[in-house]
Amino acid sequence: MGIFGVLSLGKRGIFASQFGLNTTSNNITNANTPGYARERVGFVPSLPQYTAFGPLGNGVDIATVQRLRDRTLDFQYWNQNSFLGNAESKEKYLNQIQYIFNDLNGDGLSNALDDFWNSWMDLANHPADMASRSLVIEKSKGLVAKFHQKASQLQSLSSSMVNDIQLTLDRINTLSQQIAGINNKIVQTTGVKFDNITLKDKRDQLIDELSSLINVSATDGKNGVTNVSVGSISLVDGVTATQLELDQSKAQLALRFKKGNNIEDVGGKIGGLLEVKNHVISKLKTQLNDFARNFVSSVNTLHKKYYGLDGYNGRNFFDPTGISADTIALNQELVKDPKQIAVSSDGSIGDNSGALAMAHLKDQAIMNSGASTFSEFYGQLISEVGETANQNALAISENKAIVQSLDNQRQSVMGVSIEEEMVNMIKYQHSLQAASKIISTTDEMIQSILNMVR
Amino acid sequence: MRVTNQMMASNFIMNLNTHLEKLNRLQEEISSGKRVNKPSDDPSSAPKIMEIEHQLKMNDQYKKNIQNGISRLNDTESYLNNLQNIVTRARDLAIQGSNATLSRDDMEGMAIEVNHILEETVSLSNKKSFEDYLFAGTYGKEPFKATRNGDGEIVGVQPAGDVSGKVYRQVNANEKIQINIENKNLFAGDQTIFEDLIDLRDALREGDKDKVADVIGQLNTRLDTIIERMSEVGVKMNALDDRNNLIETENLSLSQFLGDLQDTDIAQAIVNYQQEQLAYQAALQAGGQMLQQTALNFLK
Repeated sequence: MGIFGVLSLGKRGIFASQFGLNTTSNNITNANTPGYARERVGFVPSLPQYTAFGPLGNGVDIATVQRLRDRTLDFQYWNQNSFLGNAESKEKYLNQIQYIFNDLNGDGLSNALDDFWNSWMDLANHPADMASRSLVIEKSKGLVAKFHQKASQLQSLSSSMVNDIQLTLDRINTLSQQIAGINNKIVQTTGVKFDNITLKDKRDQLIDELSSLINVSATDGKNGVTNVSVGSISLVDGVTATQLELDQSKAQLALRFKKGNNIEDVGGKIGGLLEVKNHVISKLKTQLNDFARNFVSSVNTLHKKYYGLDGYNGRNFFDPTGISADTIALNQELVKDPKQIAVSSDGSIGDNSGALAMAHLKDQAIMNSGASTFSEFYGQLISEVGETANQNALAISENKAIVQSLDNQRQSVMGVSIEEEMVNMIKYQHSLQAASKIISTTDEMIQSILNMVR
Repeated sequence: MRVTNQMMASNFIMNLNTHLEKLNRLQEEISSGKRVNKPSDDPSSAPKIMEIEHQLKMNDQYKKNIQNGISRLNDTESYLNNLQNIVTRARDLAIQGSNATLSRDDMEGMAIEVNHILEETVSLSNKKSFEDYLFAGTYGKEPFKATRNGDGEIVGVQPAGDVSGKVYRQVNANEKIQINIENKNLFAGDQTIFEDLIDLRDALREGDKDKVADVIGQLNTRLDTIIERMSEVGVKMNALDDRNNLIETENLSLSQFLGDLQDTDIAQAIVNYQQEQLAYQAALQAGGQMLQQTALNFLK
């Protein structure tokens, strides 16, 4: 190698230092970019020139620019993230359900129910009194209104959840299309010397988001693609994405691949929404309707046995066709003419046995096939709501800790450390200065050689 | 483990959030005074709390029922008292009337007084407490109707309907207590106070001293019945008072149980709050200092 060779060696040294400095600067400026994995330049010694005395070094070459990422941790993180997404999406709706059944604050169905029983006992104290009769009507109206309110609140919550489910589904479909699209670009640029690391970062960030929405597992395929599947069926297979759709044909909503079977273990945010909608809310609706139906029939059966102030018996207290929480209604004849409220066992207007019997319904085990009273049944319902929300809150804090620790481990590998990059910067600054010195020294040497022949 | 700036920042934020969540929860407990604000705060206590609140509310109603019963019995007692007084007077008149030395005029005067007593007795038998006839059983309307002759004098008093019904008040979940008294042998049945008084009046008017003497025995039996009924009233009032005391005692223990389940232990909560606040401040300070430290400060 001649002396001009040393010049080019110095030039490559400067070039390598600049490259390193560039990468370091890129890392520093992206230190807070979400999903960014730090990059590292792989320097290798250039192939030496073999001389009679041995190999003669030829300077430095840049082999790769790599992103530093631990794929195993990525896969674990994506797996775990769906559990957190699942619990977090449930929290919002479970809390709203708790506010619908806010009987602990003294204003709810249980309160209206107690008022209803007490109004009958007031009537028992003054069986012929019109004011006490009107009170029974008023308190019954209050109770009916509470039933309607709970039913409609559950209904509107349910329909806003369907909206949320649809939006989440759209997002999942968009994400899987985008992931397939990026896979496609990565495949097209394969064979180019450097990995398309920016695209990969972007794709992995999309998978981060996707993994909170639905339970996915990911594997790396050929040519730099990442495949994503839900259960055993693939959502993104290389460059193609399969779309999911919502099966609304049955009362229980389900998620399925286009025209395929329903997905069993959906998981993630959308799975959480489906669970609350399909199980929690529909169970509450059933229980509330069960309550209303039994209540209406018990009250009516009893009421028919007794006589009103006008001497007739056999009348319903509630409209017998309204046997669900949203259709329960008073017998309008009674509302127009409270004299028809039946309290007497034999038609004598001073007899209060019907009112006492009505109030006694509160102590009878009518619900759960004769196992609980009305208020016990309702208390259990509230307790179940609380238990579900409580368990979910525990799941959130548990999964949050796991996800955070996995993310910490990921960040430990891929995160940018400003200190580290500062040190690198100084390193490259020095190597650039040294490489420049090689050039200036070589220049002086060439000058000396040229001066020799003058 | 390699630690990066972003890791430190995100751990810091997560820890701050955890502290803030706890602070928020403690603050809710302290400011509402309640440990259980929604079912999920303590799912096993929530239905118990609701059941106790239900029972407390029912107990309030039972107390109301008892008060209603007591006030009716009070009225019953005072009317029976009146009745006792005037029937005693009638008996005294009968004793006087059977005395051989009385003139027809004196006896006629007594007959007029007995007639007054009869009118008053009919009015007592139709007395109301608020809107409810006290001696009507479950009949619910004016219970006793007097039949009068051409001079407007009462010749008979009959029940207007079935006045034998029993009226109850619910005093707790399992027990009803009857709060009216039996009319039999008093205002209704084979022998009534009305008949006694009519007999006495007519005997006095006729001047038939033997007949008058006969009525003395009947009136004494009637007075015994009145005293019997009055003690019956007393027994019922005692029973109602008893049930009321039971409810008061039960309410006391229910309220205490409710407090144990639901109320915040304020002292404990405030200590916890201060500890949590200290931890929060420490985290803030440490975080604030650590996040500012970088190699940049030392590289010139």
